Amino acid sequence: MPTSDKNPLTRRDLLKYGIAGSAATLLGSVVAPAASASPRSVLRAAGRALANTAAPKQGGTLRFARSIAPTTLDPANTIIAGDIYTLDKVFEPLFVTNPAGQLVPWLASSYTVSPDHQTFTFTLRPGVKFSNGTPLTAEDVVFSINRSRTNSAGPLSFLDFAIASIKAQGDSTVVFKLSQPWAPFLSDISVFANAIIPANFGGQSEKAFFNNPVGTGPFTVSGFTPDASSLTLKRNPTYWRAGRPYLDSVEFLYVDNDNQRVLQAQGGEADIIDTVPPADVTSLKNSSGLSVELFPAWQVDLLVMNEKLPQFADRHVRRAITYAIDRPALVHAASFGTAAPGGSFFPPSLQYYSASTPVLAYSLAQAKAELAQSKFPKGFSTRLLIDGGVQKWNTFAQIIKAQLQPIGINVDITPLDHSAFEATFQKLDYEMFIDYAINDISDPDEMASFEVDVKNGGSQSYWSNYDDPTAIALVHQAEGEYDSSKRASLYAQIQKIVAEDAPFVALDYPPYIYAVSNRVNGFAVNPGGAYRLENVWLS
Amino acid sequence: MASYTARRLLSAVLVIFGVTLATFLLMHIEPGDPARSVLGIRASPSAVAALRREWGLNSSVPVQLGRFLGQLFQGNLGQSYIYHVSTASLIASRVGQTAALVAVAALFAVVISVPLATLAAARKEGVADHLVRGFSVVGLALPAFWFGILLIEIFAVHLHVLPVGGAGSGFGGHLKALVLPAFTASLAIVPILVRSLRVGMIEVLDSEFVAVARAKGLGEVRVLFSHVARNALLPTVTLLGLNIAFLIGSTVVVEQVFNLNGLGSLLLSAILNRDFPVVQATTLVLGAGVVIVNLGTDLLAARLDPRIRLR
Amino acid sequence: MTSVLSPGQAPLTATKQPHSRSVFIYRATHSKTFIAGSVLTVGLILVAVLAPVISPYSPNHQDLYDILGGFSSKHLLGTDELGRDELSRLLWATRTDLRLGFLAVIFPFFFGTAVGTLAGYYGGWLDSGVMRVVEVLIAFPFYVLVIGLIFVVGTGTTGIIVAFAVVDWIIYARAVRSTTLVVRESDYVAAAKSGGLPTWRILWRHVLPNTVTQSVVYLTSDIVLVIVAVVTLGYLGLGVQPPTPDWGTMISEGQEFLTTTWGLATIPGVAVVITGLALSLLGDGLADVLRPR
Repeated sequence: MPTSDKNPLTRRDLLKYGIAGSAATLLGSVVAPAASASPRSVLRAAGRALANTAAPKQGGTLRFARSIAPTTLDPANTIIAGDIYTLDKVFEPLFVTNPAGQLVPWLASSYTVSPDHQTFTFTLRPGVKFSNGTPLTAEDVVFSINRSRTNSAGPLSFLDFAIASIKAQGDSTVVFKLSQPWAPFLSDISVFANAIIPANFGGQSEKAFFNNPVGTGPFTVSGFTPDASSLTLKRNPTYWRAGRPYLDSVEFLYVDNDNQRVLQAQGGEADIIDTVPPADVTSLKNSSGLSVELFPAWQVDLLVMNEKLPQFADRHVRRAITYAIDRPALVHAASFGTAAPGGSFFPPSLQYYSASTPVLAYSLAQAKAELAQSKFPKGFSTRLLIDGGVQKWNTFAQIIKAQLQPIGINVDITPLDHSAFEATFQKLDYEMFIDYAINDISDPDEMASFEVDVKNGGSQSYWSNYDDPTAIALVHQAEGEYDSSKRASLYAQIQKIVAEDAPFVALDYPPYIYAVSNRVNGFAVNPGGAYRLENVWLS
Repeated sequence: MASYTARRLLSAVLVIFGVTLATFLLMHIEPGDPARSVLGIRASPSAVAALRREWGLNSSVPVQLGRFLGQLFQGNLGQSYIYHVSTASLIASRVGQTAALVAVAALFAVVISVPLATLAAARKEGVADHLVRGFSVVGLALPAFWFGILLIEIFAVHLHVLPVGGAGSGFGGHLKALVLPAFTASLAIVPILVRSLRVGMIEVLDSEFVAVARAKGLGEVRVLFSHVARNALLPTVTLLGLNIAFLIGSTVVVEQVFNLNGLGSLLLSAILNRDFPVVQATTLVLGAGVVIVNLGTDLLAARLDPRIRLR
Repeated sequence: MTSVLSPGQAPLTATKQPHSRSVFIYRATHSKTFIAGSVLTVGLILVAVLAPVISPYSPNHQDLYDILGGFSSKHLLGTDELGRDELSRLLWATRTDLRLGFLAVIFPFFFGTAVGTLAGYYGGWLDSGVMRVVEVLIAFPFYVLVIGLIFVVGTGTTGIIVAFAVVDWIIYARAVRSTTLVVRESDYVAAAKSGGLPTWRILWRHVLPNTVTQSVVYLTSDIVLVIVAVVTLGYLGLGVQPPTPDWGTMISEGQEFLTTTWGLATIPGVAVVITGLALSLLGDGLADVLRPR
């Protein structure tokens, strides 16, 4: 069943099949805090922390109902949300991204960078041990990141491409040499795929190691089997953050049926549930003992148009379509007010998001005017491809169809199952399609190049075939620019060009929605969707 | 009897082979690439190609089929693309849940249908008869998923007497967790059973056999029990066999609604993710289950009624 | 409806020559079930046909700021999650689902009856072959096969019709074959054979009239099953093309709001049940009318 960003069998369940491609993105620029507004969640969490003047209590088991079960705990070989948000409790990277979207030193306590910005020297935090007692050394870092970046089948190994070499200097210093000045580097280094594992798997075989993983993280897993209906993580007594984790253990329960998860929260069978359908937010808020938390996400829902076709190669047509879509109304109805209406192709929580991006706001009159200037003034018929298993896309598609009708564009909605959907649009065998775009790291370069750099971005500009040489040049320039304000201005220009060219329509910015029991304290999610459970305690 | 059994076994093997072949062809005609599913949206074409090569997906369909059959005869059901473990272990960990669900659902179906059909037949054209028939029509037209959600709302969320979903722990917990799903699944066949049993029982009730019993002065209840119900046993068994495929098929939906980790939900997600080895293996097991149950009920029916000529 | 016993067992009543029309008319007018079923079914068909005329609003007209409205004088059955009038969608869905139900059973009915008759009458290799195919198809869990086919053919009306065409005919074939096996042995057919009638004539005039009644009766409950299956497919996201109103998608879309705007998911379900009731009564009534005794 489609799920709200869901799946179907319930429509939502069944089709939950989907592999949510959201990766834990941990990165914020260390150079300067993100220009984005302070997330409501941080304020709320802080507020609750203040209200709870009681000190954190030790002990207890947190029951967390999640929508996707993990299939592997290997950080270098997965892109699936269920895997990422499990393995990041066991393995940690050199930096992490906090809930405000900022980069924070983690296993690396500090670093220095050469004047040409191509040599980074990291000092490892002293006293960090793996869960089996062996100390963290530079060799482990070298092994882990080399393993990740040389993995040709690694879904995120492309983020490491600028690394030319990694060398250990003694036990606690690691030197990275880059092949070119690369501003996103620290962000890239902190992605979950670059988490640190013991060198040579601590002497075990790779397969055995990931069934009984050994990491520096706050929790441990023993005897991992994929396709289990639950997973228990135990407190790591040698964790380097003294006093944490507060919890004795965490029980992840895998409930892919949306309704089930919501019922478990309401029935008190789960303390936290993830992926709450927006439609259930009100009833969960009204349930006693629960609160609903919305966390800003580096996620944008896009309507993409195929510029290989003459009607969408025409800029006026794309602008007309953008003007015709009433995004505030769409967000009001489809997300029950939880999401923000789309404008720039960067989400507001992403670093260097520009609030002054000239958005083509809803205006039927301007839509008609644009279409009149195009080569298709009378409109045309077109097919809109969606992942039929996700209720949200069905809703969006029906709204878009109704909103494009008045300007003469007849939309034929074509739902396909998840696999067929991906295979089809990735072959560019579509006219329009809807899907979501995410940033795995705090640095906006990932999204910018993926969606704008038609030749080298890895996706032909998010499969739209959008090709604007000016924008592409700006993206490359921003990659090598270390001055924060200069970089901000470059990304502002990129967002402006994209907004005006309208290769895709940013429909909305959906948040991460969780329902949390009132006895849970200290739970917060970063914009990449990751949450550090060593901060959580039960009252 | 022995030669009949042997022939049926042979035909069962052929049927299972047919199911396997059909599934294989069906899966390979469908668009969608499991390698892409696993590697994610940013995968490089070379990584996708490498994975496809590793899985042997670049060979032609006949070659792949041959390879699959070869492995099958060696007892190797392949390895799941998504879970990276053998499909055999995936199935082994889930088959118990589905088997339990089907068994309890079948039990519920019989326990509900036989008394209802008997009541309706005994009170033919009366109020009870109409009510029973109305109830079975409603059951036929009720979508299982909808009814299941409703049951969860009432019994789990509001009354707290049964769990919201999942498998439960311990024997008692497992049973409790099966009540609502099995009941929902049984509704897939209760209407069919009730209708057919009712007609059969009416015929028996109208028969001379029963007229004699009545003439002998046997009480109505006694007549019902000793003659009608016993005569209902054979058709019930047969009908159950005939409809077991439908029951097994309905577990696909029921497992999703109640969050049970059975073969049905495994199969559905495998189809969606194009996890070919898992689809093949699971359809094989489910199909074999249907065939075996069918064979079993036919043999049982033959034992119960010597009139049946086994051909 | 003849009882469903094992294939080899003769039904308790002997097959006879088909009755004259007047007998049917008498039975039709005196069978309460037949009358009730016909009236309801005709009523449903009328609703389907007249939906464009009697619906207060266009079924696809959205009002994104008036979503999930409860029962009101403006919207008798409320509005759905896109602000569309529920009553209008319900009426139009009758069109969609009845049409789909009828269309999807046409091929299975004709093909299944034909195949079953031929297999039952000729026996031998034809019969074995057909039965093997039937067994293979039956061994597939229903939804698995349907979903697989829809993925191949594509979602929407065409996909559903093709999927049912492949899967549904076997029920008719089995039932007709069983009865044909028995009829084949009857005195009447033997007489026709020895009288030198050509086979097709025997089949058409003597075999089919006795066997097809079972198909016809099953047809009505099959339509119900198909409609429910379509509803379930809609739940799985494999239903008719959005935004076409259809009871299945209405239930699945409304399911999220069961605790608040419960009408959205419940009322279409009631419509499915009423349709089921109508067709069932019609089926039972037809069984009464057409029975050989």
